[in-house]
Amino acid sequence: MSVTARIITSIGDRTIDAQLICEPGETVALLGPNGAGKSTVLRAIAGLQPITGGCIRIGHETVEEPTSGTFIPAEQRRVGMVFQDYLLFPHMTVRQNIEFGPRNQRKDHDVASWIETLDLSDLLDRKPAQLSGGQAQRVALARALATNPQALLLDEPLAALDAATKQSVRGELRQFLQRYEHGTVLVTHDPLDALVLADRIVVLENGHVTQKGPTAEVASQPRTEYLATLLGVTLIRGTAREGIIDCQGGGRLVTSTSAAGSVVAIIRPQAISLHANRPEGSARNVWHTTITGVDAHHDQVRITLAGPPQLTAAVTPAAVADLGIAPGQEIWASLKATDIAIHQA
Amino acid sequence: MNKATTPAPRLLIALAILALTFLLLPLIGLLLETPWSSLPALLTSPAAAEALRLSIVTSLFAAFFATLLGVPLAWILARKDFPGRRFIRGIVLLPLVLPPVVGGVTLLTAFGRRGLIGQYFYDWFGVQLPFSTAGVVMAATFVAMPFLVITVEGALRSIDTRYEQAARTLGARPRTVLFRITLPLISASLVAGIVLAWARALGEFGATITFAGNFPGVTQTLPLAVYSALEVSREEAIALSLVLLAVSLTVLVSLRGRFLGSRS
Repeated sequence: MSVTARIITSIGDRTIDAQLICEPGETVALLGPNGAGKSTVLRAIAGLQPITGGCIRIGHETVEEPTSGTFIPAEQRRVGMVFQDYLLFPHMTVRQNIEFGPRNQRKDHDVASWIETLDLSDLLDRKPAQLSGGQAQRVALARALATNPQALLLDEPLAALDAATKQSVRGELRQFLQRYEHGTVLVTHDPLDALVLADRIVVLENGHVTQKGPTAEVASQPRTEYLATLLGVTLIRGTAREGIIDCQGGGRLVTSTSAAGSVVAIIRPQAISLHANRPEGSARNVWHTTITGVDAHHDQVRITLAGPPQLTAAVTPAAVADLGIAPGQEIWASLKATDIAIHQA
Repeated sequence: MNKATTPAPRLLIALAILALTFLLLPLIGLLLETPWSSLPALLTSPAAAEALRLSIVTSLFAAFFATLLGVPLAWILARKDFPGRRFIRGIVLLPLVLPPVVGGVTLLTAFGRRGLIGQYFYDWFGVQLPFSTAGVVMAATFVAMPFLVITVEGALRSIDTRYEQAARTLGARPRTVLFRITLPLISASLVAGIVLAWARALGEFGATITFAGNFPGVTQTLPLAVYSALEVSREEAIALSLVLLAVSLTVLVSLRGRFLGSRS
């Protein structure tokens, strides 16, 4: 099911007014700095934070609307929530944690199938304290899904993991979310989570939405200073084999990765150098391409290149003058293999 | 011992030793004067056995009622913000500092035969609460409940309430959250509070003798029996005291400082 929400509320002296639409099967990342109100929005959808205005709909059902006095309490909303530090009940085994929701509904939905899907059969008799971070994350996901929710809410699902685990769990989560039939709202302050996991990104700053759009678009065309600093990256999906990535939209990238299969390549615009003539030197990726856009952005100028693959470069205004950069002009671009970050997807 | 800590002044050490001696000497005195050979006979005498039985029964009932009524009170105090909450908290804690004999007098004014509520109990149902075994339970519950309330309230404040929120998103109604999440999470403190309340009820003297009197077999609990025996047989009083001492020590050791929310 979908989630449609306009959330107006205040927490402390901060006001939040954010609109969010998440279609069935889609993953929407709510991305923003700490304290932006992301978790509050998520808690409001779950019914844990009352709203003072707006409306929350899950599927076709209105679950909260102050103007009409509609308020369905948290326990009756059909959403599954995974909390930042998972909050597995410490006094229960993994099995009891997962069966907790279905027992409350006096049903036993697909407990067994989720246990199998998330590969938990060997962990069922353990207590949460005996689980690794990645295992706890899978249990929390299974527990939320076992209630057969109509939407999934993930609050910083990877923040509690160490760097090495994070990488692999992120990949697993992505595979899962691609197949998941209902809408998923993901809250994160880590751009990589949003880039790898989300179909669309909604940027929340200081309680308000400052940008939203498809992931690749938001990533490559950040419109706020926060986002430009955080991202401004080019996101390329493709298939890796022996260090070469065949990009989905055409073109190839030479990388230093040993990854194989489906990957996401992330390229910072500052890593791309532009040249009037074919560059000498060690860069493994060199393109002769056309400039499709020039966009001054704070103290940088962002140059979009036709590719393939399509790329965004960031240069100083002085370089723009030196190179005589203008839309439609041909130019040489180069990129070192080591400047391409690869994430298994 | 960490060498970096400030050395203790000699005067402080001397006074600390004096304090310890002051606390220890009575215990040693009791142990020295205990008639060990006749102890079994003294403790199994009909009067002693009766007092022991009555003490165990009434203190267990008191612990039960203190828990049944005290846990909801602690929950409200810990979770709900309402006008007069601090005042109510003061009332709850009052029996902790109130001289028990005064507690007994207040119970008489409320539940005595001519008391606020007690007169109706007597007139309508012919029930007389004071000077009955039920009165012993009431007096013990009155003094014991605050121990349970503050222990449980402290525990409720210290647990992460997001577990309860997680349970709600999993479809748990408030009652399910209470019984399957909240109470299990505070189980250690809850047990500590119950044991503490029970121990307090077992040792109750002042409120009991004032409100329930000192009738062997009906209201004469162990502490009251000790007091009565002192006038007749010092040996018997010491033997009964030893039982109460043993119970208190066992409770203290088993709780290991967990009470009053000082740990956990």
